[in-house]
Amino acid sequence: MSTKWLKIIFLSILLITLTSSISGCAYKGVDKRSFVVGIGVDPPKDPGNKFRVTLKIAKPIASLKSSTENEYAYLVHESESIAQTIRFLETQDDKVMDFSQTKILALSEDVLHGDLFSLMDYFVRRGDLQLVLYVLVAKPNAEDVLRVQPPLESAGENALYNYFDRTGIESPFVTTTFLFEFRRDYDTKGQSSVLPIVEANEEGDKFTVNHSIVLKNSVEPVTLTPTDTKLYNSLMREAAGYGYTIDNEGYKFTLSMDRVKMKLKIHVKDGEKPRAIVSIKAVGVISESNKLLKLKELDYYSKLSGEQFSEQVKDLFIHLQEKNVDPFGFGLKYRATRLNTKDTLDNWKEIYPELEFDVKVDMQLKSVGAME
Amino acid sequence: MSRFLYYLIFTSMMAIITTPVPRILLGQSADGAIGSMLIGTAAGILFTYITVKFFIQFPGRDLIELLQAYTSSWVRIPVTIYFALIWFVAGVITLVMTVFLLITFLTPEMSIYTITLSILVTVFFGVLLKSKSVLFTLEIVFILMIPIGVIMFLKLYSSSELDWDQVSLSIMYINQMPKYLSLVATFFTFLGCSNLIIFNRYFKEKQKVSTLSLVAIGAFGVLMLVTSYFIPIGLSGFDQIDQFIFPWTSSADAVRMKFGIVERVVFIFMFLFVTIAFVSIIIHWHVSYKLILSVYRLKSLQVKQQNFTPFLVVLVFSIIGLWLTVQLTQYELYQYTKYYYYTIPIFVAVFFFTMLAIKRGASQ
Amino acid sequence: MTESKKPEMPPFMKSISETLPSSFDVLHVPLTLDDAQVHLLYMKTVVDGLSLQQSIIKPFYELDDEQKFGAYIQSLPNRLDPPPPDELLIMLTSGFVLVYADSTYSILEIRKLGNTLQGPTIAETTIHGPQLSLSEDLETNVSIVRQHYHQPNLYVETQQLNDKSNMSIALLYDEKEVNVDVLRRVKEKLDNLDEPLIQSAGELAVRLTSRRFTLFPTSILTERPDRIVYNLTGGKIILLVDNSPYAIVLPVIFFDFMVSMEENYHTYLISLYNTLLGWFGLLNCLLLPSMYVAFTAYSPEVLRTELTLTMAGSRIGVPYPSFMEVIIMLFFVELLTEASVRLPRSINAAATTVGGLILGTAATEASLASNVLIMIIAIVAISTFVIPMNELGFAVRIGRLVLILLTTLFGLVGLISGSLLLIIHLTNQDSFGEPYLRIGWRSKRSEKMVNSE
Repeated sequence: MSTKWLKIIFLSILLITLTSSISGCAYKGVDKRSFVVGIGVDPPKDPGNKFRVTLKIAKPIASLKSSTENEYAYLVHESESIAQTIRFLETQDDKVMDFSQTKILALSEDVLHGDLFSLMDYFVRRGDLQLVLYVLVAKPNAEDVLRVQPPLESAGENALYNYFDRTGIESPFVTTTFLFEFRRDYDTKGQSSVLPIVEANEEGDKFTVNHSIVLKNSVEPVTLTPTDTKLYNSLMREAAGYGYTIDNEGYKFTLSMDRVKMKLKIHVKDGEKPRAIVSIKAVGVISESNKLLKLKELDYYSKLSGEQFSEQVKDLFIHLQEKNVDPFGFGLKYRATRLNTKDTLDNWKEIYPELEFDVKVDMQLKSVGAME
Repeated sequence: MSRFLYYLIFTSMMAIITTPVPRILLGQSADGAIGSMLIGTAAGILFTYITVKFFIQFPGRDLIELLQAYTSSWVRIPVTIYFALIWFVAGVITLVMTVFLLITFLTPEMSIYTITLSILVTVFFGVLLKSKSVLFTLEIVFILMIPIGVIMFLKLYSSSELDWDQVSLSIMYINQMPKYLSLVATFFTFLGCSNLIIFNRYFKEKQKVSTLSLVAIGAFGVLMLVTSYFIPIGLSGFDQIDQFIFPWTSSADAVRMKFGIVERVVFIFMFLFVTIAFVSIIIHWHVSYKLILSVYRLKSLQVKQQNFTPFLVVLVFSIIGLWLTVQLTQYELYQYTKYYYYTIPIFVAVFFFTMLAIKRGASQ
Repeated sequence: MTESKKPEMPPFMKSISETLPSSFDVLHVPLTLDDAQVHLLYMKTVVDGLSLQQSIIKPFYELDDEQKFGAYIQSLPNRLDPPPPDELLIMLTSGFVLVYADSTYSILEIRKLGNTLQGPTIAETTIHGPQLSLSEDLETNVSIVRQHYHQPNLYVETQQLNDKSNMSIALLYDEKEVNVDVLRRVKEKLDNLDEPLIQSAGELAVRLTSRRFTLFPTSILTERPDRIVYNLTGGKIILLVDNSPYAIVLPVIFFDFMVSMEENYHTYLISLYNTLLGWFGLLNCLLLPSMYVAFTAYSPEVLRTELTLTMAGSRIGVPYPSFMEVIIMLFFVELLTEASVRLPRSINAAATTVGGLILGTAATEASLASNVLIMIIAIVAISTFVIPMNELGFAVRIGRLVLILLTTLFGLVGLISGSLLLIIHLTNQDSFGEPYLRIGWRSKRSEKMVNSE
């Protein structure tokens, strides 16, 4: 019995001291926080500063049914570093700024030159920022992209999220890159990271997401066209969907892919040119054609499409090789398939510019659609 | 083997995630970590085998009792105090690490005292439990955590964000010479069975160590090591993994459940491993506390039929734990933990020496 | 029969009758026929008059011989030799009749039985199980158990409590299954009871627990004969108390509280689903309110953005912090629950409707509580009723306050810490020497686990 009493006395003393001293400290009600849903980084307007930061803050809606559209507040400031800017912006808000729900990090194209270390440092060092936030490149600038309010966006929803989180649209033109992924690929020797480009129109009510950009330190960013973006997404992210145009031997198809799989192999032998063997397996259907199609010739169509597809892929590889970027991770593959020596990296740097691509496409068209 | 022994071993394997072990391993990822892990695993299984084999000879008797029966007190007292210290420090490392983890990721605004106290409140009562109740608590927690653990591991391994090229890149560094620090850190993972020095009292039935159980222990250990080593590499990339202070938490944040109520897996991860850390601290301190009580019991604290020495011991534990948590910086924590791991071979030597002494005493 | 003719009382009976208080129901009845004379001493209010008439008075006039009648009395199955006077007094107050016939004293049990009617089950209702509960009479109850459990191993030991009520209790157990240590401990506890007055099974159950500040009950109170039998087969001890329609089941482990009798009357999958539902309800009840506090006050980052914003939105205008909000609303629901228990059945539906629906809506309209919270409180209130045993429900209601407190202080870590503290509290507890919370592996029926290990 006395043990129990002692425990009770101990507990109550503990609790009384704690309630009196601490409960005010980290206790921040959800209504006393303002949730930052997007961060935008632009080049400064005043050349003395380094960054111009836009914060998009969601305003909680009391009743979703009675409100028709979202309300956001935007805070903009520029200064020496991102941390400083955010510290300053916090003084403009009566509530605690909560970055834990931030899902969008929009970077203006102009801040992407050179080494991104000082830019990215703040975002990965902060423990409370999600690592699964979407990093994107904004055009014409981050602030404008964050300010876009599409007419289709309903209350309690963020249109920009829907592009990337794969619960809404799943288009092969949209590249989804999370912060951790961006950082991982950016820092890995032998791989480059790819970010989607989000364009806002001048009226500020529409996004277009179909370009992407390849980034690697010490190399100028390379912008990918929508077609290349789509190819990249199909091969690396296993995205599928419409819109693969084939133009071969008089046939013009538009293919719709179900799944695309790519395997890389790198062959380096003395006396031979280094070769990358890329085998791609693609399964899809024909969704548009300029001629009447025969079901029994499906194999022939597959062959036609395969040839054309492999050429498209090869062109992309060569294009990227010329720009000395490697979003497909040939370098990583090279490093990951042979035992490490201290020359591995240097070897690769010599091999990559000379690498030849050997693309084999195994195209399987399953049907010609609903009619011949 | 009793199921409780598995729980003890598995829990200490899972608890390494809230110790500096993954960071030590990942810090040497380009420098022989894999080889060290292989050797450490073999050594760990061997250690488990010898320890369990030894205690099987004395069913229902713990080390305290055996030392009292078969050795003289100049062996008993230093050995007991040394062990108590080793176990206490193991608990403190987990405590400090857990607090750092929480303060970085869950509640950055909260005072470090508050977080530590919130852990210590439960640990205080947990340590004071009967050894038997500690085992029951362990079992309940373990079983409650299994579904969460399974979901999390499935999610981690099946996530499309996991880059297997990074993993295989890290395997390509297998040709590096194993390093001592990684080796002992791996070995530390397998030390769970040494908790038998106290808990053997409750394993009264004659037990057998079958090959199957050793395989199970080895497999679980390897799974935990592989998970704690390769998952962060696969998610955060090989080249800069040594920059992360909490490689695991930072990597678990990379996985998300698209349709889950809790979208970010990192919180499930935190829930799981903070709970395991709680239990791990309780077990370590409980062993330490029992060892201390066996050599030291203050008569002056006797009030009626109640001796208050246990409360005093645990209170001192908590106060030291709190003080260390507040004092240590992250760098110091890693530094001192390294020193602690360096001394593990000494611990093993003392442990085997004690076993030999008991065995000789018993055979006479 | 006139006053002058009343024959002299025999000396022993006279001394007894003098120690009895002179209340209106103490009766001394001399029977005389010719020279045969018999004296009866009893208390009218506890003796079954009809049975007395049938078994004593009528035979006396039919036999018309004192010796024959004496032999007849001796042969009655409910006859006992008179015990020492102080015990005899207690027996008289509980329905025995002192008979003086043929110069010998006999004591006959002609008790007026209490409420032998089996009412419908109230506290634990099932759809498919037996619909009748125990009665309020000890013997009837023992016979009910016997009728449910035809085993020669069923031991029934009766004894009387040594308090003011002197209530008879019966100890039932299956001799083959019972744990002897536990049995010994229970008997010791019963003998050492030091309470002035014990009136019901519930009270006895509380008095049998040595620890005063325990949150969770260490015995089950049940009114269901099928649960009693189910527990008997599991090696448990049943305590039946006179005048109480509840039986005490000892010792119990935590999992016993999560067994609903309904589960035995369904197929495996259905009962598994029901069990899981019960556990889910338990977790809801314990954790949801504290989770609300944790998520609104400390860690909104855990939930999805949309949910967080909804919660933030619904808390707009609520003037006090979320833990106050939760405590106030919980308190309000507790009042509602209590009120609906106290009220007669015909009104309590109205009380629940008025309280629950109207006040809930009004509270959100006036933004004194957030919508999300009202929903949580409703879920919690419903979940409380899913827990099969009422007693556990009470414990959980207090337990969750502890969790709310810890969460308010420490946030999400406090919630983890508090839940562990509850587990530690449970594992530390024991019920008559049996560990309270531990997982029994050898049988899937938790109530059978008493004997193992």
